[in-house]
Amino acid sequence: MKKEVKLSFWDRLYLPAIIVGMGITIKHFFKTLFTRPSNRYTVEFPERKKDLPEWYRGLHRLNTREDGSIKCVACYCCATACPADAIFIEAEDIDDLDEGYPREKRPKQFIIDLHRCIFCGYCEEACPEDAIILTNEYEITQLSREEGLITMEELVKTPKKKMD
Amino acid sequence: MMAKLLTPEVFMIVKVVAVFIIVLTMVAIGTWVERRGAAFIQDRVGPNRVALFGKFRIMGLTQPVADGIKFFFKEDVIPDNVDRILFVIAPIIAFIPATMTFAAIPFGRPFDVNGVNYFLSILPPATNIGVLYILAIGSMGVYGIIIGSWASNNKWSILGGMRASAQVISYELAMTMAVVGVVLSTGSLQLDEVISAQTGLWNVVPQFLGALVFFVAMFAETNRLPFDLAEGESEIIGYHTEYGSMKFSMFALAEYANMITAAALFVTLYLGGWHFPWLDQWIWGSILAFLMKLIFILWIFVWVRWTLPRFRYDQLMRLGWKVMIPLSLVNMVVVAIFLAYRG
Amino acid sequence: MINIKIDNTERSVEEGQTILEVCRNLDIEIPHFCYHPGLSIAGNCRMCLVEVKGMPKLMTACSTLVQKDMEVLTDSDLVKEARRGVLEFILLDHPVDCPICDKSGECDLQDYNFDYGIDKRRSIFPKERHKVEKVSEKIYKNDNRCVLCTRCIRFLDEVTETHELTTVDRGAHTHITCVDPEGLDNNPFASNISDICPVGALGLNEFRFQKRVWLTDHVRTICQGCEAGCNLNVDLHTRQTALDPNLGPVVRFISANNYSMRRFFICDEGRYSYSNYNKTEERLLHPELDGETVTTEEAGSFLKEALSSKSAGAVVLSPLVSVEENYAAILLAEKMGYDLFRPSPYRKDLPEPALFIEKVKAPNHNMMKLLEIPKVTDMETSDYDVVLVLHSIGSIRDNSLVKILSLLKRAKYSIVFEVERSEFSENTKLALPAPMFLEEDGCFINSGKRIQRSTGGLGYPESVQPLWKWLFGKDFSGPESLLRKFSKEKLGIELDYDKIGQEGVEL
Ligand code: SF4
Ligand code: SF4
Ligand code: SF4
Ligand code: SF4
Ligand code: FES
Repeated sequence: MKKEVKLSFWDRLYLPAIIVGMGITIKHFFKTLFTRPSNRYTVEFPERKKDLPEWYRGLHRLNTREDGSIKCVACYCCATACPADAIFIEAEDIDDLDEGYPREKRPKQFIIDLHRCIFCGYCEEACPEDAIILTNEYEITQLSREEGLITMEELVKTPKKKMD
Repeated sequence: MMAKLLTPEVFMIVKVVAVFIIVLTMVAIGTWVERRGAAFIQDRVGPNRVALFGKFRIMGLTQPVADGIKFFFKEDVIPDNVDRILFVIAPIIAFIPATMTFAAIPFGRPFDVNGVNYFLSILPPATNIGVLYILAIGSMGVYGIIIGSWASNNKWSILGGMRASAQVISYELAMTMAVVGVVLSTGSLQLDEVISAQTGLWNVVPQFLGALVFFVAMFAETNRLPFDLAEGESEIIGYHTEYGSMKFSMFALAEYANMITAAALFVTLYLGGWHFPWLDQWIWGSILAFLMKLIFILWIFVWVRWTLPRFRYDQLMRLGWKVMIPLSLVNMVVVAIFLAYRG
Repeated sequence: MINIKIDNTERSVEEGQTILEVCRNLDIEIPHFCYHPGLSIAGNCRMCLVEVKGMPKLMTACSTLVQKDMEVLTDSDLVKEARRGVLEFILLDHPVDCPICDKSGECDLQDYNFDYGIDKRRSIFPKERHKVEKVSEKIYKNDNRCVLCTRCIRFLDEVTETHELTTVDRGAHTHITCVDPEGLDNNPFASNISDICPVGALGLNEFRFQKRVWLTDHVRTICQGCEAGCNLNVDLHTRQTALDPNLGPVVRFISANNYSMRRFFICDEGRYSYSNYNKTEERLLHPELDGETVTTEEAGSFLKEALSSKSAGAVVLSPLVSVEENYAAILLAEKMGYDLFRPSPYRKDLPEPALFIEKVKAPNHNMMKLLEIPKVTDMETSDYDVVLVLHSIGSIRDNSLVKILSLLKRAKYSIVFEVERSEFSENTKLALPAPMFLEEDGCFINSGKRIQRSTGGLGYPESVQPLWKWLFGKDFSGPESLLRKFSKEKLGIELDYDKIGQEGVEL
């Protein structure tokens, strides 16, 4: 699409527009300069932490039942939904015929590769057991690839969301 | 005691060392101002983390030091297929003219002690090719860029270098012709005479057009935004793509040194050099006046950079050839007619 | 041929078939549980109800024969409501634990429930719970999921006639039970009941919780176990992620229906032979010259040297290798004037009941018989300078083996085309790595003289090449072009992969 823009003589001089623009930028300069650091938009991270909305998608957590056993039934739904192939599950057979709630399957290994994960939250959506959720935890750094593979034991310990 | 030590030779050494140190310091502070200024203009905070002894942040002023140290200790990679000699000397070639030009700039009022005349510039102010010297040496900086891009053996770098050279040639013309106006009205190529001719009325008032052309061309000459097509760091690949570590930072230093020299030249030619009402009666006052003007122009460099977007290459060329050169010619003719009319 | 109307469309169909079979051949889906093409008709699940004009009630499609001028509606509102009702009753006592059910993804009940079922269970009574049982070494049973179609029971009653499973209790408490676990252990066809079960009530212990079926790729191939040529669906695990353990690429074999052969089951030996194709330690991955790994080019130049020596040669074909690869060797022999031989494949005494299992344990033995290739043991002289031996995973008879080994040892240029390291590859000058049967398309001729096609879903490693590539390079565009030439010149008919299709062509 070709769009003809007619510039008036004043526009074609450029200089007035430039001066107006420079006025705008200097206004921002002084505004930021005279704002106290705590009131600026930038949150200076380690000292100040941002209040996250509850739908924020941070580090995963594996929920547990009241008796402390893991809710996950190793159904692979999350691994199937995961667009980044970040979840690895190995299932295990348990022989537990509780009267009301028989259990057959649980994960033997449940590993999330945080270096692959894109924190899309699809795993949470896919889970039929509400076993995996993404929490508000965002201080996730590792010094090596291996530390980025977080296992079931660590995932259980992720702090819950504030709202829960 | 001081007076005894003060011989022209000692004074010369002191001047050279002082100028060199001050220019380099200003380069360092320039990068800091640039980054913090950009941040504030964009409502951000900018680098403020580097702290002295891990405690005193002093607004991130030590960031340039940290950057310098980082650049210094980075691995010095020379890619396999480059022309090694040219590749190494290109940043040096870019940096030297930038500092050399400053030699001709008088940065304070000359004074007499014991009947000897001391002048505050490195080259004697009576050098009667002052303006020419600056224009000649100053335009050599682009060689560093072209050689560097050529030696990189990378087509994108070469394209960046080509852009730089075409741009510098185009704007050099306009710049020189704008200066002709000043030279005409002064009647001399000596910079001290240019300055003294501005006593009372700075050139920027009678030669507003020339000052404007010179000012715009200055941005193009120093490869600063809105004319940073040689480098184009964020969108198009520039001439220093293959460079890293200290060699890369030499290019950055050269850019800032060029800015300082260009700003100093602008101050000298159009803003009355070290002249300032009341302040310039003292030597220190004149130096201060000069520095203040210089810093103001430098700030405008930063300010403009974070206000204007980059020109497209054809727009840049059109502006250079179709607007700047005619304007500088107009300025020249007007000044000439005015002088001829006045006699 | 009679004319009937199905869903208001005129169709002319074979007489003597049931509505369900007619519809299956016409690609009209009628949901069903208890009907199985290889078993008798029970008509107990009521899932296949269709509307037949003139009949007071809905009819079971599986047990109603088509008749002249019949008008059948398979998709009317009444039929849909009936399906919904049947599904609601089935699901009254079904745990719907699809997420942990190994059948999910290929479960009929799951599919039908998605298509026709209701979302919500209206009953408020608790569901009956049974414990998951490992009823035999191979099979586990989860009664909770059973829809009581009795397919498993009928299979064991009618096909293997061993009667290990039966239903017990009555009414809502009916469930199946295993009365003879040992019999199930020893039954060479027992694992079929996991395929036959339309839901996840019977499954293989070996596959339990191993893999979700939707994470695998599926290809249709021919079993390599014997010359019966049973059809297999193979689950391949090709989407390997960085974290996956060394789960082999072949996940399992399950039976594939072949209606033209009327063959719907496979033997357990074939089913569990999948692990043979997961072994990597013994795999020959690079050409080897005198036991040293060499590049493809070096192997190629040795091959060239051998073939240009102009001396007498012998080619030993293999009943374990596909038609295409054998034909490439035959083409070479014809071009160079080499003699062709075949080894005798390994034979095995059959377990009882044998059903369709064949004694000859080689999938392509009938190609050798068809082309009347002489046995290697009947060879008169063994003075050959150039010897090419084809072999693959599987075994041949001892006397053939000894003969071939002596051939290889005498020859100046001995070349073995082999998948795994074997006695052949150790006693030869040049060993060429071959793709295994899941890595290349290929056809096999079974004991019923039916040529069937096996699809290679895996793709072979870069250093491995099929024989026709080694011998003829770019002369052929792929295995299919070899098959075309083979069928034209040796069989006198025109065949290609499309014509062979899924069920094969009888020669
Ligand atoms: S958040 Fe997304 S990418 Fe990360 S594990 Fe879950 S599904 Fe995979
Ligand atoms: S979807 Fe939920 S229950 Fe299933 S494997 Fe993932 S975390 Fe476990
Ligand atoms: S048998 Fe089918 S419907 Fe039932 S749980 Fe398994 S997959 Fe789901
Ligand atoms: S176990 Fe499966 S095949 Fe057997 S009756 Fe139940 S649902 Fe049918
Ligand atoms: S399939 Fe017809 S009644 Fe079960």
